[in-house]
Amino acid sequence: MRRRNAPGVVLLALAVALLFVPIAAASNADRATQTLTLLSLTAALGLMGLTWVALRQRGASAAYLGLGALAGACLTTFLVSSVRDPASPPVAALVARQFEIAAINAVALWVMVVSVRRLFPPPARGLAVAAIALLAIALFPFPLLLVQPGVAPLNLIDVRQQLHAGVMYWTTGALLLVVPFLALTTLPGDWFEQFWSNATGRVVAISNRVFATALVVVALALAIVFTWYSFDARPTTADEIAQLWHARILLTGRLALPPDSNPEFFAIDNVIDRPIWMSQFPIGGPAVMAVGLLLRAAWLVNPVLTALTALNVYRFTQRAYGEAQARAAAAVFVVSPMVLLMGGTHMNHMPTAWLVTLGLASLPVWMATSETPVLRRSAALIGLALGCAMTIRPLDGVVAGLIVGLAMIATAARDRTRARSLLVAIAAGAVPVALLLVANWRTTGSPLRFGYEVLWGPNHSLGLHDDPTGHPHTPWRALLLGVKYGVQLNWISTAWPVPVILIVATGLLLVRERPMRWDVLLLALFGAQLFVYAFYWHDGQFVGPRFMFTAVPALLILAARFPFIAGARWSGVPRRIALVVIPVCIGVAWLRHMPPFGVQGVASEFRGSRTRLKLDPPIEVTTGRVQNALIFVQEGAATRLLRRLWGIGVSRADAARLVADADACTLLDAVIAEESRSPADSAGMVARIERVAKPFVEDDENVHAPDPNLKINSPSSLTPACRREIALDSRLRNTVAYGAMLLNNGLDRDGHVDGPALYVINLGERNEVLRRRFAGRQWYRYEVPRGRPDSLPILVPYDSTR
Amino acid sequence: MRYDESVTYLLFVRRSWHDALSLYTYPNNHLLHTLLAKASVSVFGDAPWAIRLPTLLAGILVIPATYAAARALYGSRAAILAAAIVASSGALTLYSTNARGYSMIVLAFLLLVLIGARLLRGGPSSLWVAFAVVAALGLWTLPTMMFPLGTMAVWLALSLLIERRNSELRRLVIALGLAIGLAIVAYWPVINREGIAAITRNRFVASSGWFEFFEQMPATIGEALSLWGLGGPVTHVVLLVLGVCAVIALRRHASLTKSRVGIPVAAYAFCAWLLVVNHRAPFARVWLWLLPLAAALAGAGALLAGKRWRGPGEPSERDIAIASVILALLLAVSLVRSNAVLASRDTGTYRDAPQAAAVLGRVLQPGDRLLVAIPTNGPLGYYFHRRGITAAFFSADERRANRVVAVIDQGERQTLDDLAARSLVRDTTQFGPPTVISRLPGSLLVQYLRRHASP
Repeated sequence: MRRRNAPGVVLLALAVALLFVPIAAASNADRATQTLTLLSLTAALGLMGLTWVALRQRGASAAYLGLGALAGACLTTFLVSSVRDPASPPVAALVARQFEIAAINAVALWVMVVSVRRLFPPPARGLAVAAIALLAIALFPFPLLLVQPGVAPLNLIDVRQQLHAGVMYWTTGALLLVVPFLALTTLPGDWFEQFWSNATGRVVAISNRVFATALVVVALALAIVFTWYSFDARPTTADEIAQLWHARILLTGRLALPPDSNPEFFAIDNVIDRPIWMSQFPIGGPAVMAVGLLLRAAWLVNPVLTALTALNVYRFTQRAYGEAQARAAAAVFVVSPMVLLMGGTHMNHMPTAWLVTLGLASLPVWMATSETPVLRRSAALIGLALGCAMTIRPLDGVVAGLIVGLAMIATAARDRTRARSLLVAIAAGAVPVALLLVANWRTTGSPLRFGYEVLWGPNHSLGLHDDPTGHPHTPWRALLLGVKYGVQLNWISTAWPVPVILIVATGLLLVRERPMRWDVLLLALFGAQLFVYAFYWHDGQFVGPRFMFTAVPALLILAARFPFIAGARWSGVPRRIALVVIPVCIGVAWLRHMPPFGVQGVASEFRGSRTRLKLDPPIEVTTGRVQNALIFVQEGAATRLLRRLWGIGVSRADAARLVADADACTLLDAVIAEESRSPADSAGMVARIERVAKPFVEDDENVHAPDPNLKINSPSSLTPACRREIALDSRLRNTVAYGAMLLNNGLDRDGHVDGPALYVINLGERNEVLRRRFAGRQWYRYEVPRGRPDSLPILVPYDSTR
Repeated sequence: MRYDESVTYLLFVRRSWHDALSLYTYPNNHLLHTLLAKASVSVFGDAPWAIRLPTLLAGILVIPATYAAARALYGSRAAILAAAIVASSGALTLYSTNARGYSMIVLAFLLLVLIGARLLRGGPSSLWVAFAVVAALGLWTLPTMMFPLGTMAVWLALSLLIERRNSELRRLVIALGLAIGLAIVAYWPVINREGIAAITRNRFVASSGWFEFFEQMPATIGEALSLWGLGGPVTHVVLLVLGVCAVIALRRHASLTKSRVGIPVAAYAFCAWLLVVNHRAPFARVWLWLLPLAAALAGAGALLAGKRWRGPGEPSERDIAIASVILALLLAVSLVRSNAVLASRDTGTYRDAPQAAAVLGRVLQPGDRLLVAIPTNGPLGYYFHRRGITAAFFSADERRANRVVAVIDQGERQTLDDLAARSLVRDTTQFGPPTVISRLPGSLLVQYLRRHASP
């Protein structure tokens, strides 16, 4: 930092601190105060932006912008009475607070304008502000909000320990693992320049074709290693299992199966079992997996797509930034643990990322070419890729489509010859989207009704409302989700001892000229993904913030740009440091085994987790010694109760709420009573259950059952049925996850479950309803008896020691 | 006597020559120091001063060695200031009067700096032998000599690489091999008797979890800096200013020294690598060898700051000498007045040990059991030994004891409850209530009488 910049930096830090003060003060406050605080900041920013637009031609002074911000923030006082709820402070107190916040926000934004103008030339200011926002949200100070006591009731996954580990890794870890190497760059002489020139010369000397081939091979190999090492090449989440099941359904030539007459014995999360049987997911994801199943290598689909996505990243960066940066970006992408871990799963994020990057890689071609055939071809490819992405993850596809579409429209507005090709892009994109809508129409009855809504109800959708289980998704929760996703990317997307967001933001802050449109596009892709998913209620966490995955390539390309931006701007030791920091980070993150830190630590963490799902079917079945069998697989009592609720027709959302909030024993009695009623007698069923089931109250009297999720108020609530359920659990050393076993079931021509061995969930005494249906089959249990020395299940006759 | 040095004496120094140089039941045995301490004790007896004589001599030699090493790196003016800082350093005073090997490690490091600087200036090849011997002696004293030795190896290697002196680089490798070979020979009795794991895998050096390691490192560095700042408020202020000077010197390092590679860079890089290899946060005192280097940097930085303040032109050596004497006196007076060295609890203390031993010598009877916690037991054991009181009281079977005498050192924040919690005396059906035998300035002697004791 140059000395003359110091006052500007201090002012900037002051502005960020001032902006954070009201937010920090609201962190443990009531819901209305939190909402009003965020509204005040949003309105201040909005009106300041409008003021800037209005006065831009005449040179908007910082004071005018500050006044605009003040006016915007003050306007939110009119919203106090509409936002207020019974738990809020009095209106007068809220209004007074709003004025205080308005004043602080206005001063902070004014100081920020002054400091940004002092530090950055006009063309670079937008990018600089974006970089500062990125730093504040994903590094400091906003992540501090995640460790406040007020987070606990918001139904967010606790990340305090991960944050603590992150802070240690990014401070002490960086000082011990990275900085010593950087310190060596201070050694005098031109040795570094010679070394760097030789090393980069060798990389650049490799032909494009060889590099691209090597990239694909390395990416594929690494993804396969992660597939087997971390996930045993199996699905380990409900999402993966549901989509693979749906893929199996597609391979029978149907979009969905007819419902089973005993759905509770086959029910798993995220699978709709009535009025049809299919997964909740849009058709694109299962369709991709169906290709893998057809080739008997579903596990290979995502590793192949990882390699192809790496190629897309390389092609896009090559066309947008040039060969050197493309190779750097490809290298950073291909060693990203988040990319490789996701590439090792059966999740639908990787196909989506592949399609989005495919569209992205064609965008520079579309923008650069003047030949009509190339223009149309690239437009068609962009449209088709993004349209297909929408069939897998509609929201991701729409976000990417909007950003890429806006970029195309802006280009077409300057160059009318491209306008027609926009129609080609739209037409190409419309084809897969139309197929998606047809699939929806055939399965859910409406083109715009997705499986999510069938399974969970309308509250599954994007926006600020109660989630399907009744927890409110407030603006504050949305902010925390966004912050959480941002900060977690530092942890998992690279696993470097230096946070990747710091590297990206530093690069962007160093831009002094008009920003490249590609930088803006990538930043917009990332920002839009973060913004939109903050408004989605579900706290999606698997291999880090998985909802961010589609934007991870954009983030990694921006990270790989840092040495090039800084290298052009800096000289001497700072330039050397800028050039080597990423290679050093990659080196230490990959080579040092330091669990839970680094790539090896993250990979081994996944290897050791979800072992209940990494199971083979019984050897007696695979070798053919046991045939025509009905095999019961036992999960915990709480899961069985949930299944039985689903079985009587309670929605997923209501069932989850009931199991979470009610005393399990009285709830079980209510379920048994409903099971004895006629299936047609379902009107008012939930209300009847709620009348019988007592609410669960957490206190010292609670009974601790073998399944910790089984919530029982006190020993006096233990009914005979409840005792039998607990006894069923007590027999076992460990439970077996049914999801993985469902996939071993076959399907006959009519779309009914079939096969030499049929796997069903062990529902205890409820199993008797299957007696007549499966009377011709031999009954077994696949379980881990208490006396087993390990947690591996064995096949035992059903009626042996029950 | 402090805990560590008492244990050194009781477990190693007072034993036979063979045992002294081959036992490694605790990594407390700093072998070369044990050898010298045993020699001293053999001649002068087992008084504390005799046990501490080798470490004191090494500590005194650190002062001229600092001057010589700092002069080789940053010139004579900075060296005078550095020597003044080192001479009045509380940390070095503490470890020059503590019968442990740390001051010898500091001395070995400074000698390696001197030899290394001469070698880089084109000194005779025979100096490589001296380098290897000093390094081996350092390693023989303490395995943590690897930190300063590695630093010097990296410094020399980088300097030779940059100057493209490949033949010298080969000699460095040979010298390091020789040093390691000599160290293995020196440790052979230990390896033969206890196995290599006693040295490399004992509980004080075994790797910890990474989470724990990252969490403990800042605390260890903080403790080290706190140790370096041992003294009164004046010491703290002066050292803070000198710390700023050291930072200035680090920033402008290239302009301060003729060496193309700075030892601070080599020290940082190597120590970080070694820490990452072992991932175990070491004791704060392990970093003591860096103190003279920091003092040299502070001296050089102070001169640089003075130049900016006073304008160009070097101050005379006489002026610097006067300033150094004033600085040393200031720091020394502050240190003495603060009583910080005596009050420091580093390596464990029991300041009332001589008086307690005298009282207990009169009070203890056969059949008594002494209840003493770490670190109180070490010094007490040493003074028991000096008074000829049997150490059997420490290990007597509590189940058969007629009386249990507890020693509570309030200076080490011990409480009677904590001590009793680990003993049978908490069983009030077996033992009566505690009664005070003696109140000493910082500790308490308490007895528990067995109910219905056998005569």
